[in-house]
Amino acid sequence: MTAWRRFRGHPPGLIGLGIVLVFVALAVFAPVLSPYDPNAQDLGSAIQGPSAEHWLGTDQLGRDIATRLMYGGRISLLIGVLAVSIGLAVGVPLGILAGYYGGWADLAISRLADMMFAFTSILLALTLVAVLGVSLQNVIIAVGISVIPVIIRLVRSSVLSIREEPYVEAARMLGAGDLRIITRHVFRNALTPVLVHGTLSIGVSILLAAGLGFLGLGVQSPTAEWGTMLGEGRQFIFSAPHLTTFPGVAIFLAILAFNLLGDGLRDALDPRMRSVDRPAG
Amino acid sequence: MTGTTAHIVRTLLLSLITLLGVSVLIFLMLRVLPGDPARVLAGLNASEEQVSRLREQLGLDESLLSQYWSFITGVLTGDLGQSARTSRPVASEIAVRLPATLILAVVATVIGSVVGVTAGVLAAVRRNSLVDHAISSVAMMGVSMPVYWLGLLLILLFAVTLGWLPAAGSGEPLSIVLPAVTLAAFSTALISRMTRASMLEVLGQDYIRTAQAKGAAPPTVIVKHGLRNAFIPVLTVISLQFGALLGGAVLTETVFGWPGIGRLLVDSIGARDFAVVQGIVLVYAAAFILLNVVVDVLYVVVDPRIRY
Repeated sequence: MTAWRRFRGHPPGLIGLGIVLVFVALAVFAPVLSPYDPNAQDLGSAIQGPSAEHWLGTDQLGRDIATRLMYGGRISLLIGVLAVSIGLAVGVPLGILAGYYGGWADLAISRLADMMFAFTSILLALTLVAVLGVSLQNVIIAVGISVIPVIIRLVRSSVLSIREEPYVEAARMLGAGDLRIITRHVFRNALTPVLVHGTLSIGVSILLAAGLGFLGLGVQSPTAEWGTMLGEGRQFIFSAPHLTTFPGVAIFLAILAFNLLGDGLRDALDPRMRSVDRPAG
Repeated sequence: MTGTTAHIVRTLLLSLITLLGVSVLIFLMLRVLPGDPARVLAGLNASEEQVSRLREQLGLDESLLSQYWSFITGVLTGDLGQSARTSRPVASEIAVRLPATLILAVVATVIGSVVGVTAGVLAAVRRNSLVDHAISSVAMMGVSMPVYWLGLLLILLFAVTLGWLPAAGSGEPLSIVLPAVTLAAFSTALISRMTRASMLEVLGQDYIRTAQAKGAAPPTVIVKHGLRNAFIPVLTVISLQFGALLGGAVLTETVFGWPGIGRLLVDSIGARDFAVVQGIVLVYAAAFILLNVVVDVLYVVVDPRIRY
């Protein structure tokens, strides 16, 4: 468990992990932690500041903001994890094919990745949502597809260098087939960068989905979603800035947490990268 | 030099293939939509007559291949179709708003490069000092900041509370300050992180020790020997960021009511004006691909070690 020991000795990574765990706990136990229904309107107590009754105040429809943030965390975490799962499920096999076999497979797959890159992630997600229609499922698909090209490039470049390693050569000389080499050697050794990047991508996906929500093209009201809350609170920015401040803090902290966690994992799992980015001396 | 020329030709060819692929993707995206593409392209408020006229215009009874052919020949002659909302040519709608987005992206890139590279070099040179930790922490927060929330915070502080700068629009010269700073925040943070990492690697090289041993002044060592060699990965990030900024402008322009093509895109999606969406995405993608080619050629100019 040297990786865990290295991770433990890296405070930022631990802080990231801590924040992620807090967000997960808040999302899971939201019904226990809050007496309010996230969608229950109470126009009599609309747009109140923080108080003992409503810790983070209420929004324009009198809904409890703290409660909506906890339930919104469910949506954001769900989007982040599922979108990255889509990205990995499609990107990893394609990246391995391109890196391991080279030639036409590489040319075709790399071109596909280039095309998706050319859209840039926000435009790709925006266009897909525009075409597919706005819903939670389509937001997850759109954000997931925008993760794919990053994973393809990452896995391809790792596999390119792994392919030349002596242990792959040795396995081949011992008569191992492509499938066996890929599953037992290539995949296993490409796992570290994938894990690190997958973690970072969860944060990026949450950011992207919240951006769609902010533009009114993400998860739709009344479902509590951080970006949508921020976007809808915008019209009250001058009179009641807490409507945007608290969702903003939530999005910021979630992304910061996954970034810190990803950095920590990289330092713990890949000592070679550590020597460059965070020298021990 | 023939190797270099061959490499550039190869890059151009691959980019052309990519661009062609992107045009096919955009074309198909709108045609595989459930429902009648003519109705979708015409917009929600179009009359039956307009829809059938558009169907004829688009040649929707023809094969997909010949439809694509007329689409792409149209694009090549600058005809991107007609906006359903305004009935004006898409190309002129884009042309009117493109300068605002370009200005924003260029100013943000300049801010991001100057501040980011300076901060990154400073952090690397003063490695593990208080300065380094401060810069690295701010950079970490910068890459985690939702651009739309930062924009709102800056409006609250500088426009509402202090009253120093206009909150929105583009009427006054100072109007660009808040959107440009907002848009630049993420790139600045990313560029400073990249510069720091790249500088640290270079500063550990033998030729740096040689230069120091020869008695070269520290600034000379840092800039001439250090930064020059650390600049390749930084250049990559800066150029990719410029592309990302064009995309990120979508959110920033919406927050600040900046009249660029990012906001036009969001408005067009809202109005289901797909001809404009198609045109903007195509322009963005072409700009991004072109940018990558330019960077690839720049590598050879900046770094004499790179020869193909």
